[in-house]
Amino acid sequence: MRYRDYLARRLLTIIPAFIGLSILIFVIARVIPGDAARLALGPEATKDQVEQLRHEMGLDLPLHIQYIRYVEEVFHGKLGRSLYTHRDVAEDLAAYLPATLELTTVAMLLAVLVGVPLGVITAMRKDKWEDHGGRLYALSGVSIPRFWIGILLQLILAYRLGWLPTTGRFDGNLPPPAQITGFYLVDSLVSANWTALGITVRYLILPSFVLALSPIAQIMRVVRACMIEQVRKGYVLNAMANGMPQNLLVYKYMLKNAFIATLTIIGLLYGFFLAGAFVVESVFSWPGMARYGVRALIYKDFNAVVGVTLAVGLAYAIINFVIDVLYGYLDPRIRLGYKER
Amino acid sequence: MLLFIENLHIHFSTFEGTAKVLNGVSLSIRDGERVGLVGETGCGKSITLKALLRILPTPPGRIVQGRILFKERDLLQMSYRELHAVRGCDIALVPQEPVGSLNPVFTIEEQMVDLILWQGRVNVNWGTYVATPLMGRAGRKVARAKALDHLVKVNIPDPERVLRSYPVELSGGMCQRVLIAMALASHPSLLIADEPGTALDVTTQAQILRLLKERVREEGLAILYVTHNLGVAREMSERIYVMYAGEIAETAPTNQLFSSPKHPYTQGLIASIPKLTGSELEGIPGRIPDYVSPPQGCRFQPRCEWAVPACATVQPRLRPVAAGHEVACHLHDPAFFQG
Repeated sequence: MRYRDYLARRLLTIIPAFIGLSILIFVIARVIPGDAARLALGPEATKDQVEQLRHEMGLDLPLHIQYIRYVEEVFHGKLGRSLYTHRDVAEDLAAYLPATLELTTVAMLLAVLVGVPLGVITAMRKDKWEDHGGRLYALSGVSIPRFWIGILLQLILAYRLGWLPTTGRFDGNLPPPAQITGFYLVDSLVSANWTALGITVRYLILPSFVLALSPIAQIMRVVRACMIEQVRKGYVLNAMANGMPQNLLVYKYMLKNAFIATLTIIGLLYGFFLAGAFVVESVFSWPGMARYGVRALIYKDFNAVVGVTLAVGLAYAIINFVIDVLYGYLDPRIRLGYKER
Repeated sequence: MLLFIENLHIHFSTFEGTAKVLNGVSLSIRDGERVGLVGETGCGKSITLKALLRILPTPPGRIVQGRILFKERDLLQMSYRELHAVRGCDIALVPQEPVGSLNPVFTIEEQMVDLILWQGRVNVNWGTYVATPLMGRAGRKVARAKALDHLVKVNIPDPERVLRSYPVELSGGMCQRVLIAMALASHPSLLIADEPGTALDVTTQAQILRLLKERVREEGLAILYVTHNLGVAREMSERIYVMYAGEIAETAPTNQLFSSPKHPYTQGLIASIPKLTGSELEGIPGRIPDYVSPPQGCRFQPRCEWAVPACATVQPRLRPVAAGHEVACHLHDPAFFQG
């Protein structure tokens, strides 16, 4: 199987995943007890008014018709109106999604850039003090609640020392960078607005760090395990016996092999990020989609819930496709079709 | 003397206790000499050469005693800096397993060029590393041309294609040739061959052996050929060390070893070589002893049909019986029986 076929196959698996996802969301949202029309109108509304809204919203039609109508609408970009914000869900998503994606992507970059070197170091210094330190960090990094560490850092770094802003995504007294993609980092870079870039970075540091804390630990442990596994491989012994410099062997030859297995974890962690962002977004008042989604869930805001879930699903699918592309890029056995992943 | 291993003892920590694997191995190689090291699987030959290249994992391994002198310098005492200047540059290894010994996710070109450029250093300066594509005579282009040249020398028919390939795209025999080219790239004075070609089919193995022999002769380098196959050792070496259970049982010039083997183990090994005449295959009864509690006295004694009670108490030492021929067996020690 050639690389192109491999990628095509990966791409095609997204379609059934999406059909399944859309059915699942639709059914679950309908199974949740409670009447969306009643909830929207409040307890004061008369039965006729509720019936009328139910009719307007199409809630009185058979479920499969509702589903088909819904898929049609979604396909045309009509996600419906949010019952809570009274705005188009698509509009809401456009406002909130970039904030969350920016936060999670920066956190993921941070997790990889810190976690991978730590993993290599702890593997190479196995059972030395560096490794024990790493183990301690992994344990606490995974088990300490994120809201707690978030509030703690807010108190110390932002409140007491005033080095970083406490909450929000941007300084409220200043105009945000020109709206191009919705990603403030990209927008400020593209419009060469260096002050805005600086402010964006300052606001990003704390939330992304808090979000990355536990993934750093997870990536570190996986990289460590993969690197230790590499040490016993024949190519390592041969390279050592034939005088390959140590750092070249470790950081180029072994790490590339070890990183292929690590990619799987990164793909899975992204899903965890999109879900786990809620806590961080709440603590730091980050105007993101995770907060919006949870609020929609609480208020049984059907259209918003489905919109958010679809957006998360799409983001997750795209990220995992990118991971698959990277597999092929890193591992010639996949690219050349010698091995199916 | 190019290489002199003196009284090497290596122990391993295991759950059952300390495995005393190497028990006083001594071995020497002169400049340009072709030496075979023969023994059954598990007799400690791989451990000997891993210790010599200092790629023995420690722990669990532990070098208890002994010296490994290479050009009068003890490899076991060297710092990393000194070791890197020797390993790969003056002593090179041709490993046993052809495909697994090449990195699966880099092209042959990448691996060979890096070796040619950076061999001999403990660490690479990343700045220099990044700049090498632009450097003239020290650059990657020149190194690539050298790599191509080395591949031609090991009779690779389409070296350009091989350079561009990943190991999975090449046959086992081709990978083995690449490994030989890599080992010879630095013009070492000692080549260590760990049963290359064992994983290949016999015809390819024969080609590899012929190639190795030819290259060694042309470069005039010494080779330590490690194998479990006495026939292959005869083909490859001028002198053979027979190893049994972590000890050297016998050493002699190849022809003499085959014409008048002295040690009962060597005799058994020679009798075990399959012949095409159709006679019943002979073997040595029993198996390599447990290293945690090895037999007292001679380690071969439980399997030896000539053993006398004294063999189970006193460890035999290597003693000369003829010019260049030494045996570690009480049966060939007249003094042992008299006294």
